[in-house]
Amino acid sequence: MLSLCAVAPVRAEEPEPREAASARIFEATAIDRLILANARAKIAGDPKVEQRLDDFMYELRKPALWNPSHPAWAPTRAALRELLARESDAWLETYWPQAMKIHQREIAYAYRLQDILVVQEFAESPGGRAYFAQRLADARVKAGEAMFSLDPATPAQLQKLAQETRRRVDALPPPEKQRIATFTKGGSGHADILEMLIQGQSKWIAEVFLGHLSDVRYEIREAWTRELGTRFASMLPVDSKKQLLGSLELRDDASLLFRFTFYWNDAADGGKLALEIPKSAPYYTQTLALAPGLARGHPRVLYRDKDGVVSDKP
Amino acid sequence: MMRVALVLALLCAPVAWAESLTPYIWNDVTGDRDMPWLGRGGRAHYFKRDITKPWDIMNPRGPTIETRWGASGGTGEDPFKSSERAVAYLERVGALKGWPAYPPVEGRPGAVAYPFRVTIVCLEPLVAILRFDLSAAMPDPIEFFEGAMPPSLRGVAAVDQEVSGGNLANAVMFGSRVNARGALQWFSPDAAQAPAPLDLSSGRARITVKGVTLELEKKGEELVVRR
Repeated sequence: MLSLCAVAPVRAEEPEPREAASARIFEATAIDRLILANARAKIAGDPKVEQRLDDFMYELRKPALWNPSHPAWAPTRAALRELLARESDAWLETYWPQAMKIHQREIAYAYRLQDILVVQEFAESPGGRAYFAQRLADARVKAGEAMFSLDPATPAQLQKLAQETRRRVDALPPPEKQRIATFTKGGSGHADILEMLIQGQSKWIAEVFLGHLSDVRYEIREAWTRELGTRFASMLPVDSKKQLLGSLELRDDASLLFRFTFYWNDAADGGKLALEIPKSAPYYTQTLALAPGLARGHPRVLYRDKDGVVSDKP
Repeated sequence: MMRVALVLALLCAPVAWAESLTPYIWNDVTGDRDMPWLGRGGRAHYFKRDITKPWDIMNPRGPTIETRWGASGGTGEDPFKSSERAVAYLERVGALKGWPAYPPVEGRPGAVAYPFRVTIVCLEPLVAILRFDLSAAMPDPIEFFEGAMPPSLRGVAAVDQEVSGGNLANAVMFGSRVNARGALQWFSPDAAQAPAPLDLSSGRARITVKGVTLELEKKGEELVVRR
């Protein structure tokens, strides 16, 4: 019994052969970077990312004050995108080592030992290295490095890298080219499993990225608000410490329309309601008085102070 | 001895949860609340009763507390029900018609974006004042909710002057004082009196309903209701 206990810790320190093979595959192919680039490509076209950016914009100024048609919107949003990219890159630096371990384990335990050794042999061959280098370079071109990047590069740099890796594959000797063809199209199933795993992990990482965008720390968002507020001070709509209610509009038939937005469907401006106040309503005059001189086609934003007084004064 | 102490502790635990209420009897917790008038005379009182059973100790919702307002706990109505009755009546007479509603939440109909504040000023019969306020159409953010109250009820006490119930964006308020800013109306579900304007051009008005008369006087930004 005692001798068993003495042996146990020694055995625990020995690397599981499949995990060791998986680590070497990752080292030779940088599959994790391929997963990363695929995940970036997945979120690049996801409307949730754009919605999250809009939500950050509405933290800077409330929806009643501005929207994409405001002149300050586009430049401020571009600057915000840069800030978000920097934050996401910094966060990824700390997150990626954990994700890497999970990727390696997923791949390690998806194969029997004899099969993962086949994959390892291919990965470490000149043909395998060149094949994965080209896939990674192409994926990076497709995904861009706008955010969630460990080594940001410009589109021109990425294009150049892709061309170089393509030339490297073209320059391979015929046996290595044949090795690539055998692995990828040989029908052994090794490449299919690997592909399935890469796609699965890429999808998961894309979800992690979306989750992160919904969970950026408050103090970071506060710092963005301060920085953008200073940079675009002359362009941004006037801010207010009052409660921002919505906008009051005078319509052609002289009726009043009070529009406001509310948080809905995970978006700061996801819900919209409008109250119509006809000229015959007993409270029409009272409502019109909230925005003196209100003219058709020029809606006025309404605010409410802590004493409950509603007016058009920010 | 230990066993007796344990049983006593278990019996007393719910009492400890529920503020300082004496269990199973109505406790008058009116305190500093500005209460509505009672049709039969005087002001309503606010009552709570802790009916937590010793075996409810594991109830994650905490103690079971009943609430009533009126002359006594036994004869009073649940404030939530009064509030619900007031809003349901507004719906029945069509006052909520024409105002948009928020989207439904978890199968329940969404709140109506009704731009009026509702304040219950009398019980038995139930009488409430409506005040037009655009901001009432949206839920009050915590830091701004006191603005709906009359000036003398703002501050720490404001939170005790509201009662939930009724499908509006904000809770129904209660008391003998009402914020007087904006057009005012009154209604009474018990007397089938639909919202009617209050003429306060002279600074005073009177509501007579089911033999009960309420005198209203505008004092600065407040409307003071007397019986």
